[in-house]
Amino acid sequence: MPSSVDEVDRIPLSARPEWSDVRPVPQDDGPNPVAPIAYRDDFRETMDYFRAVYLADERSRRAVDLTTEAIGMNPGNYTVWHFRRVVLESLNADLHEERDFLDRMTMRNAKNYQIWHHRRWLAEKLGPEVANKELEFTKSILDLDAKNYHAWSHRQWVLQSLGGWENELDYCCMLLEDDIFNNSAWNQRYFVITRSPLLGGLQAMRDSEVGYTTEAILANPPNESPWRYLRGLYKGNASQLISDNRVSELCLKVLKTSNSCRFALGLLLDLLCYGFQPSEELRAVVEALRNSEQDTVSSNLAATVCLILEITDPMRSNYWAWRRNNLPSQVR
Amino acid sequence: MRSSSFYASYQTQHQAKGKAKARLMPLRIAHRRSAAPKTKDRRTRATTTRREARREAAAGRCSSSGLPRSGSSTPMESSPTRSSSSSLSLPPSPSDRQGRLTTTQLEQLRVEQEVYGIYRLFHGVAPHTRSFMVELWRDKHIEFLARGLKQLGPSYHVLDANRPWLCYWIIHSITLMGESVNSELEDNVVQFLSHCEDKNGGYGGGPGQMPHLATTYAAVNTLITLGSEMSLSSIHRENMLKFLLQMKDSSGAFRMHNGGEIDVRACYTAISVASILNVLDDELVTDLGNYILSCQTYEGGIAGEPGSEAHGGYTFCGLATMILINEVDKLDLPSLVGGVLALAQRLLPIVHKQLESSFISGVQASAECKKSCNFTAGETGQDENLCRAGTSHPDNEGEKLSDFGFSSIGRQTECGPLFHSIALQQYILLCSQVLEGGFRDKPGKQRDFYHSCYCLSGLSVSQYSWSKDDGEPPLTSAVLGPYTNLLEPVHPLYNVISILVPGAVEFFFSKSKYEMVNILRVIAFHSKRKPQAQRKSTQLSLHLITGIYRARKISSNSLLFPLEPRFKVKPMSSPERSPPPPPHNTPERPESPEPAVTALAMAGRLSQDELAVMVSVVDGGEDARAAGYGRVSTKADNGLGAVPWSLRRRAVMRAALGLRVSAALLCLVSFSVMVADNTEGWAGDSFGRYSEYRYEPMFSFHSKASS
Repeated sequence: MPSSVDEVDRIPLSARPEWSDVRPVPQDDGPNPVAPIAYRDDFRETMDYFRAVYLADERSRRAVDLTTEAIGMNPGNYTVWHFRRVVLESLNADLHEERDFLDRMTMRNAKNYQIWHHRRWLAEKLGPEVANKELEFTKSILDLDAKNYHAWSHRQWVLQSLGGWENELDYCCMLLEDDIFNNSAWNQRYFVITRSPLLGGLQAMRDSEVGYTTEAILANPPNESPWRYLRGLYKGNASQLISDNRVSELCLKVLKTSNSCRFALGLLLDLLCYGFQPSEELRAVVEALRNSEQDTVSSNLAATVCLILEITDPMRSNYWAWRRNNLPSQVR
Repeated sequence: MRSSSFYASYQTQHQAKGKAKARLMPLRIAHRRSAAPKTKDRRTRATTTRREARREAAAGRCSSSGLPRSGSSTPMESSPTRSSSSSLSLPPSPSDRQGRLTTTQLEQLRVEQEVYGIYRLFHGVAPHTRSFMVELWRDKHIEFLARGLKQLGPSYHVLDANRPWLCYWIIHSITLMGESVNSELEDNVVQFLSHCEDKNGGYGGGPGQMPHLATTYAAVNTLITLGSEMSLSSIHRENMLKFLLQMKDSSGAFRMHNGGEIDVRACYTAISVASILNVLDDELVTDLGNYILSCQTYEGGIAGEPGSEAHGGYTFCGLATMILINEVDKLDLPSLVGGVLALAQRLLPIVHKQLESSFISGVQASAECKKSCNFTAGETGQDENLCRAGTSHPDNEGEKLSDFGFSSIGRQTECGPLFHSIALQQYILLCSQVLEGGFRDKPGKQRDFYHSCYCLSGLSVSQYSWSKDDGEPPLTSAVLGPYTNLLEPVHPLYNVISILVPGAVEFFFSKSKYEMVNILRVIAFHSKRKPQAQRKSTQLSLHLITGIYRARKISSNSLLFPLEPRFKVKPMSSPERSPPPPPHNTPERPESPEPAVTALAMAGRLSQDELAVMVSVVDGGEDARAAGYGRVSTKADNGLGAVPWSLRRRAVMRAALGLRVSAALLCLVSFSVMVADNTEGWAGDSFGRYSEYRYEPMFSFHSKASS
């Protein structure tokens, strides 16, 4: 905690001349508080002074400084953050300075709702000029943790509100190259493909994206992310999914070469449910996967796929059994 | 994804040792057998050290390197026009990276190794120790939780803006384990939370803080969990509605607080609170469904805001919200279920019930009809509803919800849970449970109140996942470990103990100070969801239950007063354990712990009104028995579609019914007297002489009574 470092040098607010006119307001916990926290003295004092300033609605420089101290001790206190914004707006404060403060805070508490919300407020005030800086900043956070949900949300907000789409697809590629299992990066890729004003949307990008995703799957079939991404490319367009040969060929190829075929079988099952007519070769490959011990012989490929999945994916076997019992009538 | 293969290997190894216990893995026997041929490579994988795993992965990469791959591994140049072509050129696993595990894989492997270590230990020990390991350490958990309720250390100052959350996590956990807080502590909680309540509505993270939707949700759920009239009536509903309306954004979503962030969390907490307090009005619901829908991602799950990545927590929030506002049919449910099984499984039966009742409102659907495999007209119609819902493209023939069997997901009776309920219980008990008390996210993490709350909630959901109806005691085979592990059932939408929900809903309805029009509108809204027939018994028994709860709290002096155990609880340290009842036998229900009336008499705080109604219900047999078990009979209303009637109204209805019955009896008596009376009496007169007026008194009696 930052406060423990500063603690040594910290002068109590009551001993600071600039605060001598303020009367601290203690917290009104009532006579018998539940789950009471044994506050340290400095925390209690800071919050007592904060309450005094907050209740008096004092919009001053020293109020901002006080919120800085309070936030340093508990960055989760949304009331303090809110008041800080109110005061900063009243004072017409230099928001670039605020940005530096926020950068330091974010680095220390990268998964805090309040900090990222404040950041969004700040970026909105500063406008498109900070778009690239914000993208750089989120990148530095994602360098530490490439799945930081807040950082990704902020990055998407920056792109949509302030711009900076130019390099985003490249950035996704870079992250995926670094960690092809990073589902957050796949999600960002989908976000760019579908929403970037520079790329022409999902329809225009589908063809090349299917190629990219197929490569990723073939390189690493047990990676669920590209399998889901591939389905996403045909979202709301099942007829195109079943008519695109590349999808069924991908299933075939993976089923022929790899043992870990859960995702291939899952996709194949969806294809069959949508009315896909399997080739003889595909049928043969699936039949070969079937365990000879299995006594249930089914002429139905979709049911066979479910049966295989019930065994190879034991954690979800109830789900696959349920899918088997509820196959659409045309494939039953 | 890896966890499953991992689990398979654990299972097969378990089997190979010949120590398979049907009780532990009752659902998996067939699959375990057939998985055997696959074991070799799987077992190898699971037992390898990290280095070996790396090597293996490297080999895997090499074998796949023969696949067509093009281009360079350098990041592409930044030109929008080039992007589409360059995106083709990226090899996902460049040669220099071969043999290296990515961050995701390493992280996953690390957790799997730890979990595997625990499971290996579990299956290596003697059976006696094993059952000891999967025991729920109630005493330790209660101790940990109760200590937190009394005092938290200085390091908790980072949760200084989450104090109602702390109350909720702790009290909900305690109640889940069948315990209850004493009246003094209850008073303190109510008092403390009212210090957190803002004078203009909503609850803040602590006294003097701005109202916040999340802490409002926590505070309201805490007060409902306490369940007493005092705690329920401490909530100011009209201010609450004002606060919720202030948080409503023009997009249809909600803000967490004044000037706060907008996301699915805020939507859920707002709607959950509004729904349970009976202030859910049209203005709150406007455009909300569309906002949540815009958060559903290509993966099927729901994200915190549009465009973000699907996330389990947000998926719960989004799905629960959609169910509460009756718009779940807007979501793409097949893809959602493909992603988040357990959750959807638990919530969809409620959807099913709602849709069903909205379709056949007015028609009394018998319980048999609901359970039967044959489609009634209502259900078929509902299926069609769902079909439409599941079709995101009108011209798309294949994408029907019914194709995915949504009609039967609601009938848990037939299909059981879609997720592996035993495996989940095993993970929670072996890997999340901390022996010193409390629960953690995963091995290597610290315990905390948050994870204690949600691990216990998840444990409860898994235990009841095979129950035919909400709250019915599960079979012994559905509960991992000793049957004493069984927790109270939770309401999956609000995450409070399910038996407390209908009572709360009803309480807030009866407290409603809104004008009649408003009330009628709400009635109409709710009755669309639930046939009236199913309501009565549950609601009455609920009042009994709350009465008993209260009686117990009052009579107790200790901090925590255990409710009468429904099932025999043996002390944890006891080396001997009574064998669980044979599977496929509903566990025997113990005798009602005490006559409900006695309990009620103890509840000194109950008003005469309430007592009168309750006592009148006690002779209703079934209800009293249900109350005695601390459970609601199951047709039971989870509170969702309950039409809340005021106590008074019910009392009047009941009295009217009694009057009618007695009137009918009197009519019969007078009828027989008059027919039989042909002799002259002491007055020298008889009814027989006035044949034209003979039956007149009877009719007048009858007509008066029935008016």
